[in-house]
Amino acid sequence: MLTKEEVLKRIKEGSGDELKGASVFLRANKNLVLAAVKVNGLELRYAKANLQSDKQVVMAALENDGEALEYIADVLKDDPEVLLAALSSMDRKA
Amino acid sequence: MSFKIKGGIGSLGYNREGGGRVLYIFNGKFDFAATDVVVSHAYTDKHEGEIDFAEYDPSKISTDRFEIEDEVPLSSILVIHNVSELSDQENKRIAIFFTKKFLINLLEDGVAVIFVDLEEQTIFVVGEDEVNNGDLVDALLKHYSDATLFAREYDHIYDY
Repeated sequence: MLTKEEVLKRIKEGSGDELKGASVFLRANKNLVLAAVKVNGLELRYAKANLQSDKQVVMAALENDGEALEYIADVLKDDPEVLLAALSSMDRKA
Repeated sequence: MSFKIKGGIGSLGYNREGGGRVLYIFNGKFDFAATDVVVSHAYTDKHEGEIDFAEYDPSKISTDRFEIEDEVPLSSILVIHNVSELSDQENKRIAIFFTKKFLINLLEDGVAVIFVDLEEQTIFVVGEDEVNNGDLVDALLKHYSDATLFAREYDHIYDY
């Protein structure tokens, strides 16, 4: 299980898998998750469920990678701002 | 009229060995005749004179993103909205995205996905090519409101 320091190191290095292997406690830490998804939006996959429905976290993840849309909570799937942010991000990457 | 299998079924495996997890997708109501055709092609080995096949009832398929038990509407698992603030094209892109990711998540988790076309009376095993070519996704979205999922876990005859 990754320690907070190890997660922060991965975030700083942008080496990928920033949250994979972190404890539930760390994956529920909003500041840590926010920092991780800003580096790698797809890390939203490993965020605790309540953060997958947190619009600030979700928008940060989508800004980095529109494909993170896959991991958003159902409650945000009818939010036009979220959906348009995802499409816009995907278009930028294409 | 009976169902025709397109492209073969192959081995679906057994739950005890990590296989045997099958998700049927019907573009309408569940039809037992289709699952019957599938298992009769997939399970032919015998054990002590009997076909080596049993199914858990209820059956549950879980991935890191979805949990599907027995028969459920597609729309209860795959959540897609038609959002009025988005254009038709934008809504379609979102719908295609979620549908592809749903199918790929199942395939990556080792679930055998079988599409049953009730209109054509055909059955085929879904692979990544079918997900990416678009026809299957289009067919699913066309029947999004009435499509049905049916989860099955198959195992050896005496494991049940």
